[in-house]
Amino acid sequence: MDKHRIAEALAELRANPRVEAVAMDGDDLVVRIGEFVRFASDPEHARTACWAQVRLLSSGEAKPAATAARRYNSSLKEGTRMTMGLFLEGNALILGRSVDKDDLAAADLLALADEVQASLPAARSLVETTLEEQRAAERQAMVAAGDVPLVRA
Amino acid sequence: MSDSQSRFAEFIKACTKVLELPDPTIGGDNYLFQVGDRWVELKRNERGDLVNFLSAIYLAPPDGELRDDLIASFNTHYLFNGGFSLVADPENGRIYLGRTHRLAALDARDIRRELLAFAGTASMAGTWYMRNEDETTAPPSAPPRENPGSFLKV
Repeated sequence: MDKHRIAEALAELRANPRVEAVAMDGDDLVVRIGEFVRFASDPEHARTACWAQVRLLSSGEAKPAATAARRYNSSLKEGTRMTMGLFLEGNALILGRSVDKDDLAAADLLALADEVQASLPAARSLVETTLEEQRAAERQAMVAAGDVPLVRA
Repeated sequence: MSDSQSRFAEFIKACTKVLELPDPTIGGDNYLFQVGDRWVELKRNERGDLVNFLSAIYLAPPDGELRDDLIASFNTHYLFNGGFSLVADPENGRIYLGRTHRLAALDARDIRRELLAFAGTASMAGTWYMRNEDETTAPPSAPPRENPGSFLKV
């Protein structure tokens, strides 16, 4: 999105009562519609990426989080849902979609943000299930190795 | 035929005309094009407004496991660089390259270029995956920005 488009979109989004907040963060346009949803321009491919954070990760969660992302993305073959990916530096899982247009109108931006936000609960549920599977496997491995957890769940 | 089916069917028909292929028979929600030695599947969503390009890029050996970390990092990087994603099918040990387009943004006159570009990217993605699957370290694709994890604070 060029600067003129961004200025227009900002004004239109600010005027929309559904939008709780809107701001620029670096080159990203950020809206709050319950969740924070971000837009990043991909000018080389004339596309716009829309994304939100699924979950921050603690130490040791990157591997099961990647498994969760792979599981989630398996559904992409059947539908055209979001992509889940791993920000290694940010230690977070993100969810988003890239659309092939870089001058989206404010209404299109909001519709896309709604889709991302609507996809978050199922994505988070899948991530929590996968992380719990990992924790259960770790507990089993501890018991199998003769270690007893100090605190029983 | 529903609206979503007919929009997709019309697009595919226009594509085959541009490519000088025989009239297609489209019964379902997908259509396959052969690009060199590669198949590229175009698959519409239920609503019919989106079309996913898909092509198999990797087949794991019988006892091989897919590298989740490579797939997840690739997907983060290319979400911001072209909108490509890796789609794993662990039951069959396959990985596909996918890219979603809005049907309204596709122009059948550009289909030859789109298919060739996608097939080329699929070939490169497969090569990248195979080159990195034995690496034990984090994948090489750097995140797109200097500090992509700087989420907005309130």
